[in-house]
Amino acid sequence: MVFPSAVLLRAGFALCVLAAAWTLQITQGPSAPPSAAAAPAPQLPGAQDAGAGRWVEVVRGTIPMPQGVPAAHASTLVAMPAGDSAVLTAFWFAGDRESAPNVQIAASRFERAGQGWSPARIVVNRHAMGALLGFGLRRLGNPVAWVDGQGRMHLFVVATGWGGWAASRVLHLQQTAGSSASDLRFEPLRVLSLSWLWNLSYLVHTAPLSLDDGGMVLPAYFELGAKTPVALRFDSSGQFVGMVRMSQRTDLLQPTLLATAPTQWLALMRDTRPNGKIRVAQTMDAGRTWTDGPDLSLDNPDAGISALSVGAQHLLVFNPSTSSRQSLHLARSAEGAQWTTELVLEDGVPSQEFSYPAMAWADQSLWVSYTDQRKRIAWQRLVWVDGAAPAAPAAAQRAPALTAPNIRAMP
Amino acid sequence: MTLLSFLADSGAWGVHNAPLLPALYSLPWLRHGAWSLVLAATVVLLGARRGGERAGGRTGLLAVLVAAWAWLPGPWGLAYWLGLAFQIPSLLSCALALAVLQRAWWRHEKQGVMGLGFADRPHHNLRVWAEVYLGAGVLLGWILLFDTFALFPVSVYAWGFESAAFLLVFALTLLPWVVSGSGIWRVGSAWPAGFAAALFGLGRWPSGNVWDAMLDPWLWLLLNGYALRAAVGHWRSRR
Repeated sequence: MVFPSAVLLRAGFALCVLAAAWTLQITQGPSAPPSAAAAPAPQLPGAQDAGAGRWVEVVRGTIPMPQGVPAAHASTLVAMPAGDSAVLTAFWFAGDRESAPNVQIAASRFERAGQGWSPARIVVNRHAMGALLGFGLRRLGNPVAWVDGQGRMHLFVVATGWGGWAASRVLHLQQTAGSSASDLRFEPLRVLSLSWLWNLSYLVHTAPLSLDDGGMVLPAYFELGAKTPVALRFDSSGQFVGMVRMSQRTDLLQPTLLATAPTQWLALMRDTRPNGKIRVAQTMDAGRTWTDGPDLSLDNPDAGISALSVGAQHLLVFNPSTSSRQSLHLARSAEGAQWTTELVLEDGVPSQEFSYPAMAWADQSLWVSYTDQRKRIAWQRLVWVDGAAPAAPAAAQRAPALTAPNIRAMP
Repeated sequence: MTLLSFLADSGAWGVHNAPLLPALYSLPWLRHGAWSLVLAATVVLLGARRGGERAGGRTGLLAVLVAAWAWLPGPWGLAYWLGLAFQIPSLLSCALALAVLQRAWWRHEKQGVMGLGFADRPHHNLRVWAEVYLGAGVLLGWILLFDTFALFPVSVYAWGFESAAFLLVFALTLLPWVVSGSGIWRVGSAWPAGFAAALFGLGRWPSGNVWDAMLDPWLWLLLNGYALRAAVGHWRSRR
């Protein structure tokens, strides 16, 4: 086959253009961080044998709400660095009701000095963010917080376009330069581009998995028709690095991540089927590829869950029912497959709802927050007590709310 | 390594360069400019359909006003609300809009304005390329739509962040010129496609993902309309 010389000439020129474009990409492009392992889990104080001991509630209460705001939902907790005046910061959405036009993102800090929560502050308002972005945000929803390698707070907030939650996008905010942790202010970085279809229907809910390179993996999910989980990776400065779909199934969402080994992780997920179970996907190569695993034996009423690794233990807070959110349990596992209920955090009547739990490890304690009746955010502080658990029914293991030295219960 | 695992790896992190993302300061400017161009071109297209050449003056004025409306700040501006619903048009939509406006301004050719070049028929060779562009756009849109709803075992959208995907798209936009020579630029969709790909290479607008740069859902719907019209025309001519 003989090509005309003009074609060959143009082909050569096109190759030069492509080579120049390739060079530009290489020189401009940040090199991808190699696959990172999960950051080591925090160690339990003094507990080497996770089997011999139990979690005990030290104190519980509710986080102060913004003045005159009747509804709250979807809290997230983030542990603050050791030198900070607060142990941890909680974020949640607050307004007249879920998806109301006046919903804003509120924050409160658990102060080390006073051992109590600071008054709630509004840190994200959709009108203010819309003005900075140059386009509107219709509603605000779930927030997820993370502190990057430089100590800056990032906030990922669900923000909708035209439509309900299925029209959601994920707004990435970063702590404004010069704002202190006690006077948190955020500015928008970008709306994460995750979908070709007008970037619709991606949401976040659960906490990121920290990596040993200072970056993190943020679990997210698509929920327009098909409900599928994805993992979003960010480097230590909070730059988006890539996205990977975590399951081939299309009926699960709100993944929460556990590292069973540095590069072997589990995603436990909410089940949208009737008579649901907590669903599982797993990766053996630090999140690059995922496979679906067998369901856990734990029920799930199409409700959010939260998982965290502490020491050699994996912990899970979930609603132990296929139809109700009236109870909230803490379960423990050594390997992520077999779980035993450790503590009954809430056990309400059928009309009550305790949902959307979040967990964080800070100040040698396990902190749990969750939505209480959609009206407020409740919290509990748990500590690990070495020694054999008393032989008592699970419900009877519930410790009374203690007022331990230098810890006071909040109203 | 199977083809499937190779493709799955290609969209994964830690394999190639991290995605280049557009500069943050550029996005509000791009959003307003892009909507302004696309809205003005839409007015011109609708005006040409409704009133032909006689409507030129009024249509032009309306196009300018709508374009200016997009630039108004905050909730007063169209870009604020269109961004809320649809984010940013693709670079290819912007380039096609530019082509429509350029034709309307310089040539006043109704067929050219209306046809976005897909209806241009300079001669057989170039007509084939116009149909290739149309078919490729329609097919890519269907693939991305199915991918959005997780109907494929791999994530096609995630590949769009890869430099290799950009180079492949750029090469494909240059291919008609390599094969057919400079006459290809008379096909109305040819230079916008190359221009959009080159612009994406420079600034990674609008999202860092090459699929977002080359096709947006509104453009895809329009292409489906053209494809349907072409198919019906073809069917009628055969009868």
